[in-house]
Amino acid sequence: MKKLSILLAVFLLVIGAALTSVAAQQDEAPDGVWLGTWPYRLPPDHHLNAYADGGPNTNLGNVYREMVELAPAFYMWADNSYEAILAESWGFSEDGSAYELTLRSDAMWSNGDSINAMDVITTYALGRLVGWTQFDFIDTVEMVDEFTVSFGFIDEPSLLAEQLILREPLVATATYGEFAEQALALFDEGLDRESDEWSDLLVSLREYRPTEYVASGPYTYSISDVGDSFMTLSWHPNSIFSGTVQFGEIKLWAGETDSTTPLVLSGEIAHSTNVYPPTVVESYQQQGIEIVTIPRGYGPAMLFNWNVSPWDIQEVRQAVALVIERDQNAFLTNGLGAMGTVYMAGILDGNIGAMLTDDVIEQLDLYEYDLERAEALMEEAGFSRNNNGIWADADGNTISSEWIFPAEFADFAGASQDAIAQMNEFGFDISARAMPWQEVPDNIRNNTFELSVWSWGAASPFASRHFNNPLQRWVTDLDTATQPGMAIPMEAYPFNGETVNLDEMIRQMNAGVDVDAHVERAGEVALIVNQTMPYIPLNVILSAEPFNTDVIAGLPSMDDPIMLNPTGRDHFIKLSILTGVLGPAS
Amino acid sequence: MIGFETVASPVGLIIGIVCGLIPLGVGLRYGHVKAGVWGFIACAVSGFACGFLGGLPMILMATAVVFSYAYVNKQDPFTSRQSLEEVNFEETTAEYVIRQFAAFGRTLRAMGIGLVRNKGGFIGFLGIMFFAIMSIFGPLVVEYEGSPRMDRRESPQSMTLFQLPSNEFPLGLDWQGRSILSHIVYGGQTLIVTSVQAGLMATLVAVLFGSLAALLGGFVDQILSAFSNFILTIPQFPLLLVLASILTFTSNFMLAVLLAALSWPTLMRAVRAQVLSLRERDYVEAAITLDLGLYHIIVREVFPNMVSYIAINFIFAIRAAMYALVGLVILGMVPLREPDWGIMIWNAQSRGAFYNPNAMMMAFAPIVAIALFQLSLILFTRSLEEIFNPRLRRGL
Amino acid sequence: MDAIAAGDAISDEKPVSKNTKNFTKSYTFRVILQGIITIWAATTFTFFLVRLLPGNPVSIRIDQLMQQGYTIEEARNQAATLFDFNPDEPMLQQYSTYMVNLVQGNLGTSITSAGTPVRDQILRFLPWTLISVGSALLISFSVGILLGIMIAYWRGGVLDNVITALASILSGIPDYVYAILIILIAGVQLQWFNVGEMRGGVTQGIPAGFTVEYISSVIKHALLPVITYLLATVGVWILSMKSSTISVLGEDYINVAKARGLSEGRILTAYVGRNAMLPLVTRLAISIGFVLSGSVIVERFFEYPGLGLQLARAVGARDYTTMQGIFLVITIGVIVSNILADLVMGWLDPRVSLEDN
Repeated sequence: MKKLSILLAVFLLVIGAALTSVAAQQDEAPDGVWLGTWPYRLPPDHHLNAYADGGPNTNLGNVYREMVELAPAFYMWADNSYEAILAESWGFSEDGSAYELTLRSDAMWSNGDSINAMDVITTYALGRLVGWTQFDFIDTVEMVDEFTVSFGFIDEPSLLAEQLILREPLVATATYGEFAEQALALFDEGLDRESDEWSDLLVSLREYRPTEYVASGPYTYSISDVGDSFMTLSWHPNSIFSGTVQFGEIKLWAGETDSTTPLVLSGEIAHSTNVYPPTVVESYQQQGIEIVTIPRGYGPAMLFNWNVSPWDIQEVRQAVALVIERDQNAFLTNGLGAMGTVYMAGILDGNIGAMLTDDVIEQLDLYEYDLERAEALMEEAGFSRNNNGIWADADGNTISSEWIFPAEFADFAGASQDAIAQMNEFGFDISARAMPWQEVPDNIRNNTFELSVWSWGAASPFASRHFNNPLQRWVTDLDTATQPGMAIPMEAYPFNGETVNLDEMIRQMNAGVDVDAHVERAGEVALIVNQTMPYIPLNVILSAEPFNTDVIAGLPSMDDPIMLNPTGRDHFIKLSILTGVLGPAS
Repeated sequence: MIGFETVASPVGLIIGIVCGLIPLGVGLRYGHVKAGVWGFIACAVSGFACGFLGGLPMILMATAVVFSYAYVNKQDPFTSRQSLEEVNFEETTAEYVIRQFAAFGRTLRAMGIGLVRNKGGFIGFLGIMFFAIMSIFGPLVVEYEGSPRMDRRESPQSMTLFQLPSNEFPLGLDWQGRSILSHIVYGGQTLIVTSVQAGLMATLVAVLFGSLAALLGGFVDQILSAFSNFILTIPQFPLLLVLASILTFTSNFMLAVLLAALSWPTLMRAVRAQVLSLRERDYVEAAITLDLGLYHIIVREVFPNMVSYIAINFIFAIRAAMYALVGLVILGMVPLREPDWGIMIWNAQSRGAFYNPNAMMMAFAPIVAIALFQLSLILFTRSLEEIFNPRLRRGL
Repeated sequence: MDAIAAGDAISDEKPVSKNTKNFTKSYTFRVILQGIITIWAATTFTFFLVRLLPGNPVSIRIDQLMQQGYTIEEARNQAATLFDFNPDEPMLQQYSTYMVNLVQGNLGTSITSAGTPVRDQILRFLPWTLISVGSALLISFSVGILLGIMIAYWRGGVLDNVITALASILSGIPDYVYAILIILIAGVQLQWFNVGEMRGGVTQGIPAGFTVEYISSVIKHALLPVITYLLATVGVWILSMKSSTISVLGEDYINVAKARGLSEGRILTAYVGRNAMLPLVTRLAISIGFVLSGSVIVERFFEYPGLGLQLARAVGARDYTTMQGIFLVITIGVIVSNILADLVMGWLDPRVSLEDN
């Protein structure tokens, strides 16, 4: 009996201690400090208005903004599923004409207000005012009940729209309510962007400077927390994650890749999403800093100007694909932080299993390094080597072109310099021209280039987004009357002696909610891209991020499904910080 | 200048030897064998380096030097040892040419002595010759490596191809696994030539405009000062960005012109300030009063009094051009061409070479080369000062 | 051009009082008029120049975000907030609006920080640039002048050889190398200072004001930028001063002064230094003008909140209004310091006259 009572007493004590510690967590900030970095801007450029440039999007980026303003859900790439954050339930309405989102009823803003459907209405009223892409898919946002909102589709239901809705952080009505009311009034009157009222409201929204950052996430900050060299997000008790996070502060150091390098070396930055060159990554390793390698969502592609002969000839492009050794190219792009493209189908290698059927994957030409095959293709296309070993057409004109690349991006520059060297060894006459990075896309848009390099693929679970970059991004997404871009005839694309409307095929790819149909349509386009090589996907860049385990504990192992998430919007640290997986190392 | 632009060739060596026979012959004929042999060597080397461009002028110079040892001026009683009655002051054209030729030789000898006398200056001269010899004769010894060398990767775990100096690669390997030494040997020539062109043009314009503004004053001064102010106040980086998007060049010479056009005003204003002060000195005032002409005043009175200052600024202009050139290359004004020291530094910097001891050589090799080249030039100015401003030789 | 015409009109008018007439013909008036015209010309030139830069703020922002891994939808949503920029408005109309605002002292609002006045941006960052680059320039100039004159006077000595060699090599190395080496060797390797703590203009959390704590923190933070700037520039001042002094040393009046038995110190300061400094003062003036443009490298590596980094960012993002505001400040700085240089010249060497010959 005595033993039992002692046991009971101990049991009660433990429970009590556990309860008080939970309670303590609720009103006292945890001890840990997260040491990250983001190139935020300094006040007065820095402000808290999410709808003007220089606000939270700029200063917290798509990694840290959700520490302050939560989205309805978090996306898991491993199984294409969503983890609830602010949302209770979500899904397409039964007739497929709308998307319904129900928020959890216990969530609070930092000022104590309840997070409810009105906040969704506010978020999207201002989103429509500034012109968000969500409104390419949806046209109405209506409150169903206190916590439920219904988004009405313009045409058919879309999984892409679902992702945009579930991953968009919500803003507080307390902060933006007035503007949202005015915006809704404008929409009711049927006014459009051209109207004076609309632009006047935009101007006053632009000049709006909230003094308090009302947060749904467990952290918030004010302008006085923004210093020259770091800014601090501080814990507050009202968020649904306030009890689970293990960091009382998120300290973000200012600066870009160059200036943050010494801080990573000295341990003052524990994690960074910057693209450090392999030389620097090697230094980190020598210092004993762990490197976490996760997908980045793009790689460098060699882009052709189809208006410039001979790059409009399929055989020549195929030959180019065969003469560039892609593993070497990947190594000179970003060391071990890049992989030579394997499947050459316009979809990032890491996503190809989910987006294509095995049948299609088997049909893909892998363009393995093969000089003889390239030689044969060149001759088939009517070219022969001249006395200097340079390829020339029947009239003796050599294949001479200039390749422009961005000087500041070491990865793209490295890929270009190596590809040029390899092409010249095969007998092309390619010269290099480096320029400020801003000018390369400009030249591609305006068709004032011959060869160039820019990204391909996307950090998106939708195949159409992968094909979009670069095929549509540099052709049909442009104002083609003034900007021919790569000048690929997307609407009448030559394939097996016929023409297909490649642009429409990509646009329709992810329409509707039938995933099998998506895969089938992606397969058709993948085979076309694979066979015709409209651009050369040289390699896929990975994000090699320093992660100092002496400072931060709880790094998920590499086989944890969350590590399949790419860097950026769906970065694993976001959910891991919120749920308390990551914490301070003792 | 000519020397820097060429590469040694065996044909040039033959040309040089043939050219060398002339001063050697003259030396043997007049019994100055030692001078003749030196003349032969000078011709052979310069021919080897530059072919006809080096060999032919060297014939003239070497022969003049050899001849000056042997020449006896019949008009000069001291050297000809003739009595005053015997000296004939009339000379034929041929005799006049011969006398001038010998005088030219003597001047060369004096300059040679001037070069050697100041130790610092001579070290500078040797430094400049080192870079010249490296650029011209280096390619005979070192083979250029242009293509990436993946086969030199040390292990499958290596993140980069960089390597520290070793016996096989005295300066290590760069980011593409290529020998840094080969890039140092081959990559200086164009850079040095273009930078010297840029520096020369900027300095000439600055000295000319500065002197004119100060000497003429008034309207000319106002116009030139306003012009230099305008160039100074144009935001240069955006200007170059815009220019680079409109203009593209194939040769580096146009880059030199562009750099000169943007960099003359600072020195011009300094020269103007100095000349404003010089203008009030007695000897310049005397020259102005005597109406000796602007050319005389600038070249004979102003320039020698500023030669050290102008020389040092010329050198700084060269150094600035060396670092600015790569900026113009990565703005896209000219195609990116390796090997080039500037491109090496840029490649090293953008690849974070400073943060990794294995990679540092790629950045430091060209930076040290540029710094040493500048040091050589600066030391060499001591000899120049002595040649141009003999008063300094005695010290204060 | 209008300003010149106006100037002519004033001097052509007959019934002006003698004083006014003298003033319009005076050196001061001419210099000020010339300064205003140059500022106007440079501003106009810059206005059109920055708008000719390839690309525009919106497309550059989208490209930049996608390079950071944003999807195209996210990037477009963010760029949609750049609504302060209207590429369709005719350039001349933009120019006239800008000039009218400028005359009223209004520099407009930033494009890439929508709604933020450019004036606020300049006022925020300018003082830090003045503190770091300004003091570094003055120190560099003073040290350079002193060492330069010394090694010129004792030419050929050990001091001369050592300092000349050192100065040549120091000035041959680009400034960012110093910044990186200071941080890496002294900070990360030897841990002489805490890399993170030394960043920024002042320790965060210390209230601004004339307190010992605040001022000492400002000085502490300016130390590394100043050292970097000093290492990169002092060699140029030393060698320039040396060469300028050498030109003066050959002058007769120096020998005369020596013959009169004046002390070396007096000869150096009163005779040699004064004259040798003429070209350097001009150079200093130009450098002072450009102090305002800051030092991008130093500011980037030490996260120093100066104008240079802001300018570089504005150029990269094509933030036309911010760029122009900063360029205007630089232009005024260069012009004013050049005018001052002419005045100082007259003081250093009273023989110099800038009036017509």
